[in-house]
Amino acid sequence: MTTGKAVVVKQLPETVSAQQSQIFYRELQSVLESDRPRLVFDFTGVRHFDSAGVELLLRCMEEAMKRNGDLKLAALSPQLAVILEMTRVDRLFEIFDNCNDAVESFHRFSPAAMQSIAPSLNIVNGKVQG
Amino acid sequence: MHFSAVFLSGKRPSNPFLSYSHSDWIAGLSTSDTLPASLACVEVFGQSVLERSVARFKKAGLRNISVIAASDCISFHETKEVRIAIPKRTEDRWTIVKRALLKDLQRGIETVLVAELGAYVELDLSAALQFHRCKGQPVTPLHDAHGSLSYWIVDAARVLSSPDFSFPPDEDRIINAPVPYKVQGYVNRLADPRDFRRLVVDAFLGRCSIAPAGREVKPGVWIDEGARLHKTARLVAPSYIGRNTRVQPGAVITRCSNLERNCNVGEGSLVSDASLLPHTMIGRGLDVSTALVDRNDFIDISRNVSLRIEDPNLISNVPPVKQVPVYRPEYEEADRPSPDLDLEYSEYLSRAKGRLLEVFKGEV
Repeated sequence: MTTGKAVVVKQLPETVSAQQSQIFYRELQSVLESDRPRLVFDFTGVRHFDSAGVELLLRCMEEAMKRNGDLKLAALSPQLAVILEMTRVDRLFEIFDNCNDAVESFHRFSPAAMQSIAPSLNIVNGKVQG
Repeated sequence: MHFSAVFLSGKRPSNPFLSYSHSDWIAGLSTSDTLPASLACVEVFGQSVLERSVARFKKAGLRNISVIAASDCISFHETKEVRIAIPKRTEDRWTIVKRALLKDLQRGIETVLVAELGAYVELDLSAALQFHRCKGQPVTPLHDAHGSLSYWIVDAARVLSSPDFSFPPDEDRIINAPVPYKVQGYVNRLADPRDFRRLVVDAFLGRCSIAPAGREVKPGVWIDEGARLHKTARLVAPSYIGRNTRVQPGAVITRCSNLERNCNVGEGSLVSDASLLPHTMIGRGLDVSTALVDRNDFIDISRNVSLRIEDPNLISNVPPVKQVPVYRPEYEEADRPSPDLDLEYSEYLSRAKGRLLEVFKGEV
């Protein structure tokens, strides 16, 4: 499945604290309020991330979902992965090793995602077998 | 028994370790002016390995035990017959060991166990001593299947008079390399946080002689003095709740988790296969799994990742203040019946109240 809708890749600031989160959210508001927003958050430069950052992710996810869009995460350090797992939000997002993979994922059908919905289905190359 | 022991330890690993790489953490913070960090100073079920080792050897009949460690890992309740020295630098430790050996010699004690902790070793002392005497060597190193444990039985007079001998004993440099004594009992090298968790699990499963402190309120669940658990909190065996620790509503403690003294687990949080070291606070609705948490420091053992979190909504530090027990009906003291019993008790009461309402037609 391919659509022409652009994917917005947004790099998070080095410090994602309460104050930085608000600034970041304000910058992103126009994208989030568009129809079917497709977003990738790039965590490459993030050095400090706390519960305010988790709140930001959930808020952005909620806004994107409301408008039939999606938010994916890319380039998380192992430390960030620990925080997302600890706060139980890791299971809400698709997480990729790099931004390219995350952007690509918007343009193709994900067998992995389907597998998680219906584990009993045998999916090969994106097609349901048997 | 004319025999004594000298235990060396470093300092309790704490905040600075996060600024070092993981390999530094394993090796300890060995710089010229700091003592090495040692997991032997960290509490397991209310008592550190250092304290347990001293207690065990005291029980075995050893007198004049010397402990050389940083002040933050010496909290012996009973310091009787234990000499304590607090070195300022790493190099000082071995000078103090020599002084301790000399003092023992003046008291007529010739054979001394010198242990650099490190490792938690369950040693058959009399067998090791007999082996040392049979071999007639100045130093008998203690080994397990993986090599040296940094435990040595030394003849103080021969070691102090020999110009070739240096501290710490370098087994390769000693002329006529000594025959090591192979320890048969339980050994845990406590080299990294993974080993620490293994020690906790082994203690829960009875693989070593460390037993959880406090009262076993139901099979496999131990609660220490002053711990307060909400009635909706769930403790799944095996688990341990330390002194004055609080577990908030809906929290779940499971899979060999130990919460040491003065911890606080927030509402709805899950602690699974994890150790919370003293004064650690876990926020609400969190999932702490396969981890070692020391106040603001979080070590994910499965990922081999450590990080510092300074956010009270996630993990933080419970100030070390003496907590005065306050009676609150929704909390139960550790001395009261176990949660299951309490639940049955409250159900019984509600049934009884319903029955009384019927009898007295709503006048109760």
